[in-house]
Amino acid sequence: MKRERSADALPLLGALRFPGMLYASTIRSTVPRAQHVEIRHPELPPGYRCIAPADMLAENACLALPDGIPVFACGAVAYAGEALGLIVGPDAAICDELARGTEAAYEEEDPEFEWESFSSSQIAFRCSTEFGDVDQAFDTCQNIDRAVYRNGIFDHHYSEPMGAIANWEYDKLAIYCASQWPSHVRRSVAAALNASEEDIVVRPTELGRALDGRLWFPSVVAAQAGIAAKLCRKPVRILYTREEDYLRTPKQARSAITVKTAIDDQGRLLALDARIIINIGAYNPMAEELIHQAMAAITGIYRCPAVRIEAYAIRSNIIPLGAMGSIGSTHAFFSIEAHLNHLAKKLGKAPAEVKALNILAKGSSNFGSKPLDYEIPFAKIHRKLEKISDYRRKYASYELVKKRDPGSREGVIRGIALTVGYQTGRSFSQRGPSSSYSVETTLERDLRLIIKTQAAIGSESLKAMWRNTAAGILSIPEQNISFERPDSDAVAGGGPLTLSRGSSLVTKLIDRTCRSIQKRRFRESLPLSAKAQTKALKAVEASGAPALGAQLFDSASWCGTAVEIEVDALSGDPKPIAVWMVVEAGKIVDENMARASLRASAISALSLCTRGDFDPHGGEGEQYLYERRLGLAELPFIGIEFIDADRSVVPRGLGELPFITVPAAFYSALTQALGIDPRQLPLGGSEILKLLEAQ
Amino acid sequence: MIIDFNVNGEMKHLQVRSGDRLVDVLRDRLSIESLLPDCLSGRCGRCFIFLDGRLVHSCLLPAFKAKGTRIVTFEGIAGSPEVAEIEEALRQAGALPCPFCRTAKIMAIVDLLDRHPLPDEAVALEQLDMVSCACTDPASLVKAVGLAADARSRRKFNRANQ
Amino acid sequence: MRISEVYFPETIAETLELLHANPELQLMAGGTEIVGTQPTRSIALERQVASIVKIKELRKTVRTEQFLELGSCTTLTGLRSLASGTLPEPLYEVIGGIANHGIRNTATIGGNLCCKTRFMDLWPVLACLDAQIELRSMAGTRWAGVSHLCGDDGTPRFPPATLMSRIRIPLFTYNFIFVRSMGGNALPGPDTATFACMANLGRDKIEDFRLIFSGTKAFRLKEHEMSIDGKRHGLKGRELQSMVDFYTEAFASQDWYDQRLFASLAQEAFERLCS
Repeated sequence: MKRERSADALPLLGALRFPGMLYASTIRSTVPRAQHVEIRHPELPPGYRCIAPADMLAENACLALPDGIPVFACGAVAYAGEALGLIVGPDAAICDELARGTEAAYEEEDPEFEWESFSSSQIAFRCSTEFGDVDQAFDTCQNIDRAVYRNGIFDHHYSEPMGAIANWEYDKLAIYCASQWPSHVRRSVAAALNASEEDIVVRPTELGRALDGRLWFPSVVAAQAGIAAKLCRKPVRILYTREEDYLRTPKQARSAITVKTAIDDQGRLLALDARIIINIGAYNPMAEELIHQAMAAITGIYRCPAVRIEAYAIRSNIIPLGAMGSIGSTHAFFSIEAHLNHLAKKLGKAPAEVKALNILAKGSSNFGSKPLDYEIPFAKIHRKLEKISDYRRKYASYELVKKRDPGSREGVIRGIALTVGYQTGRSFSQRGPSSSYSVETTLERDLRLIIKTQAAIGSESLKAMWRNTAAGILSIPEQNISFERPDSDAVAGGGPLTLSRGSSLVTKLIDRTCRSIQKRRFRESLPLSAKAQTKALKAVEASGAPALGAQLFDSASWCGTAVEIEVDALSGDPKPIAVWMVVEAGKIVDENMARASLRASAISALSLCTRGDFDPHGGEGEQYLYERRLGLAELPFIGIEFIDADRSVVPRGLGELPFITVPAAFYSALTQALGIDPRQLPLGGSEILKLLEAQ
Repeated sequence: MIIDFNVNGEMKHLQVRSGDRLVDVLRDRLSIESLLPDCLSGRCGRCFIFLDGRLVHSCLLPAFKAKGTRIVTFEGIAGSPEVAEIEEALRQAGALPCPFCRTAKIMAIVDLLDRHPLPDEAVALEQLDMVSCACTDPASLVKAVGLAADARSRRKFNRANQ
Repeated sequence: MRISEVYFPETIAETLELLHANPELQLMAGGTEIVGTQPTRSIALERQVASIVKIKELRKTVRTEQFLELGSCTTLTGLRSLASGTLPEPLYEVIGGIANHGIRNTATIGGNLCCKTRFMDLWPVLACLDAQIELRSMAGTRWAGVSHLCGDDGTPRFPPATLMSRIRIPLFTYNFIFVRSMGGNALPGPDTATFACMANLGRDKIEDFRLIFSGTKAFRLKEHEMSIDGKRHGLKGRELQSMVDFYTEAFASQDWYDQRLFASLAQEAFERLCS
């Protein structure tokens, strides 16, 4: 008996089968840096073949994508694990074994792992900006503080391992894959095959929770599958095992952010000098976006009359790292919040007091941008958050316990902290018709409603909300509503679709198209269609520099997060006990759905703080097998409340808010609990024990 | 080697290799679409089957271990009142599992209610923790379990109209 | 893909004959540890494998007044579902913390004890309880203490061409039990270990003290345990701390686990013992 799925369900990549389909496994480099690679495969059984770069070039394939990202390492290896070629055959398990048994000869070179101090050849992208007289402010100030804040490499657990299928459909090659950037997949495969984009059609599969980690890497895998299909003249599937997905797909970047501040005796920021270094591994085509977003986030929501920011995306010979789950904001926001907490402690003040002093007020501006035309809801959010989390009483209690018995191992070691952050509605991408969203809605004669959108649909709750919206406007049953994601040959190319911004804009478009149909419904005969399109506002100047300052807030959603943690006295493991979030994100169409989405993102964000740092030099298999995550029973209480905006605003994205605010609040709670300021995340139990003992 | 086993009420005779995982054989050779080979280490639940009445991870079993056993997959229970109750309970509780973990979650709840007709929150969470997917909020899942348990009890004791 | 020969013996006698003919024969009960540590699509097994989980004699449970005897192929879920009070409490608790219900439905007590690469959760608890194992080979049958599964170097050992058929657990109760499982995941990792400390607190003396800590290796100071027997419980201050320090200093020579974590566990165990 077949399992029933909803009519608009996209297929799962692992479920797709095509007649004569072959399976491909990736041959990988075992060294981090080398030249002149030569593949030496074992004896292959009948029906199996090895596809090496030489074979691909002979078929006129191109081994680099238009943005320079290698499809296969051709002649030069940039990281251990990089794809060198494929083994293709009728059995996936045998292909895997043959690929593992394939060796390569290299001329090894010294790898570059160092990134905090780097050579100019390692710079993939740099950007700097300055406003006000920073040097003068530091020269004349007595209260100068400097600290370095570090983030480890995080891995996201995706709903399905990475993969792609290339299947011949008469005169076209159909690519099945789960990607947030279908036009990039099409462009990449066409380039890899030296073919026209007209010859390639992208058919999306179910994306699940992509967490912005399925932006560009699926294009690489799709191109690999396309090349294999071209050489073999048969459909080819590449589907990573979960271990392979864990070890071999891009991760969230490692960063070291140096923050130097000058403050007055009250704690007002006079100058800020930030140096942002983000390790992007071997390469990352979104290095620019990563840097721009980190630069925008480093001043947080605070006003500072003199700011200098220097930011670098640094290459190193490890797995590609980069843009995902808030794309650079997490690192920067964590750093500025941690630094302000440190300043507050130095002044003997509560963190909230120092932060409130520095909030960008209505009418003021940062970076010479246009003045803020509304009041950042810091106070309102803070007040509500303090109340629902019982912050003041708990903060005072935990401070008292710490003072009485510093570093106590017998008592409860707890901490609580608040942070307020934002998610801009603007896009940091300059690409293509960047971040444009379109919706086409059709009401059929039988009152079925079909909504077509190329927005990545990663959540059942989101679809349910959209159904609810459409059903309410058109007065039709929700079960009559289905979604279609048009194949790439029916939709113009667009930029990367980061989930959170996409969802809010698509909600607007669905609302608009349904209302258009409703207006015409009883005057014109069915079927009726309506189309709408919109673009996310840019956060990038025409010159390419990031547009910083108050303009980022004009379409922002706001969130205050409180995190309470307890440190296990035995193991040192920090455990989140509770998370509260107060969100101002404009009109919330469905609060239950919004809560569910925020909760799931908060849980993912907490995992970033509590799981171990991904080790790019880690052992095969073992690291994956022992990788830990928060179990259901370990999950903290998560309370979420929404507040109304003071200004009239449309629905805004909120998916990134937990990634931006939760790590910062978690860290601050940890510093309160421990009474020390380690300036890094994540922190494991044994590291915490070491710090406690040193204290 | 050839092994004989029963899948969803039908006898099967299959040639399998010693290194084949049961999940792959069931999925690829018998087209059992509810099974997704994913973690291959018993941590995600997407390969759940009932083997001789016990909920097990079919990724952890070599195919030859199916010899002489009775296997029931999601397809074998999909039309049952138990599953209908659970699906309705999930809908009522606002718990909408994603396509990747939906059948796994339902199998886990079926097994839970078979063993614990009135499970408490801790027991429910422990069971549901076997399905590693962050798509659904735990509170709504626990609520769904409660609703499904209630529906099952009502049906069992013929209190359907109450 | 390596193709293994797979046997399905139906009796212990058949299994022993196979073992005698093939000393390298891989015995597979639940197989969760063998398969679960291979995250590859196909499973690599030894050249010859015998699937023994269906052998009825290996799944029997017998309880007497003094002992509980379990067939080595009893699943962990099967153990936990024994009538309330049948299984010693520390064992019941430790089993509940192993992996998850789906894995416990497949994993067996024998497989948990016979892991070649590390000590799993049950070994230290059963060693504290002075459990015994029945070992069978073509040469004959003998009983040995569970602690014999630990070599002199602290690593797991198992005699070749031998089948573990039964585990006998004395139903002797301790009134002080401190068991902590460290690390947490479906599969054991480098930070996974079990600390087991048990004793009887008589009117004013500590009796039958034992302390075992195991993970990738095992740590026990058997001779020293006898020196703790007879001490007053209710020890405080320097005397208490000296007991803790003795153990933590002895553990300092071990390189397989975080010293600090062991020290924390020892501290807590002794503090509870003496409180």
